Amino acid sequence: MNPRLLSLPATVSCLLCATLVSLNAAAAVDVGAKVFVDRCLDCHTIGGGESVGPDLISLVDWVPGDVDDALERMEEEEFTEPLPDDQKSRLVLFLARADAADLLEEASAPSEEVGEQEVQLVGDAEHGRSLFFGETRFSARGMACGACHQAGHKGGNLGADLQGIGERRSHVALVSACTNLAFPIMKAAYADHKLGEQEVVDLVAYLESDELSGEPGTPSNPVLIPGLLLGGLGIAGIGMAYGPAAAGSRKRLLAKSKGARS
Amino acid sequence: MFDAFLFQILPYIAAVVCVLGVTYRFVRGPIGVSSLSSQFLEGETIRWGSGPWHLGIIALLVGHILPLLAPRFWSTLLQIPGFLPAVEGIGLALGFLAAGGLFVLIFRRFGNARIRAVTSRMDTLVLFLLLGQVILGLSVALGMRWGAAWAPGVLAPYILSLATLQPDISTLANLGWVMHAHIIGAWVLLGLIPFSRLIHLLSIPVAFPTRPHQKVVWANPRSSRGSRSL
Repeated sequence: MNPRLLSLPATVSCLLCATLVSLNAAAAVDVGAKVFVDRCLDCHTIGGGESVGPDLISLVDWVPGDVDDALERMEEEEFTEPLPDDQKSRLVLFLARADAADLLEEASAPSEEVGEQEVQLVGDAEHGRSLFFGETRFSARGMACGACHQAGHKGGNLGADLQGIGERRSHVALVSACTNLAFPIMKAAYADHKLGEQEVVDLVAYLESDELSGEPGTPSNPVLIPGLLLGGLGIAGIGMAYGPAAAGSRKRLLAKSKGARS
Repeated sequence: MFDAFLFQILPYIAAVVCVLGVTYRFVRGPIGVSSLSSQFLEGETIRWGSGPWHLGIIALLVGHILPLLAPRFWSTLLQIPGFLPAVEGIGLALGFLAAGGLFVLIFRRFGNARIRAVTSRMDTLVLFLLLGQVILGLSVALGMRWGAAWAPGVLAPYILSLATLQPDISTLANLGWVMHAHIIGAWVLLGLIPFSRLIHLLSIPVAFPTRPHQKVVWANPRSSRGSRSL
């Protein structure tokens, strides 16, 4: 048989295999990008600068083992829940891509499903602000966001400052963060207090509002000075009010005793 | 593993030791359930320490217990405009009051020879543990605001899980070493109650406000015996 005729099926097979492998690899990278959106995007960017965690653009220079080690450390320190092995390997593949930033943009683009949801649920930023700071309770009685997060230079500092978060994160990422609550502390605190769909949309509307535009501010404690003053006044007041009676009776007895001696 | 011991096992050890130890102390001799007052040994400096410390720490304990025992009620209170900053401000002031009072009491205990002579090692340990606990508490209030708002959602589930014998420390993750040390300090102090002056926490003077008036007078003719001491 003509060797050229033999090489044709071999070439086709090779091409087919290569196509399948590359399709598989592309699918794996897509899955990795989706894992990143669900699990990492709340704290990390790719080329968007430092957020709660570092910008991961530099990971293209890492070897896969380094990423595994970093993920293990984060799991040990409870920054994240353990990732299943298949998701971890796909995330590593995705992070190693030079075009990870572009792929991430595609992965976090609003899907048609979300678009439909947006038509049904229109966010009310004012109601979102009220929910955020606990002026209105969540329907499932979850903790107010402002207990831990600062926004508009108000609120707690246990969690990240969310000032300008609407400019740094896509709409989908914000909806995902409010719905999935991927952080261990939030996951546990809201386990029995899931946010309602409308509540999520309202919160996201508030986070994306102009009121929260700009960079995070320096955390300040508005009650520090009043607390110090009140505490100092308390010591002085109690010392002066409580002391003379106790010490005075003894002094009187001492004086009486000395008077009797003399 | 170490976390499991500190946050899941230590609380039960502390509670069991506290209950058994306190019961033993009450059975053995209720008269010993006291702080062994040193006011007769030194009555001047104590007024700047004892009052502020006790007022501050009792109010703070109530402020800690209420959100943990009744988180829903507390969360409802937090909806009142201005409640959160007010309660945080008062809490911080009480913290400074307690810390100031405790510094005075430590200075008095180690700066006065008569008080030092009746100071045991356990007194020293408890004093410095309390000081550490108050400093950690102030650090939490200043560095991790607003504790009054996040405690019902973060700490109350932990306390509830301990009370229902299903200890769950998942809400304590990422709280940081300061808060973790504050929690561990609380369990250690609970376990030390039967072995220290802290037992006077349980000798609450319930009858004091309603008991008949008492006037303390010197009955012995000290001057005629030439005694100079009081």
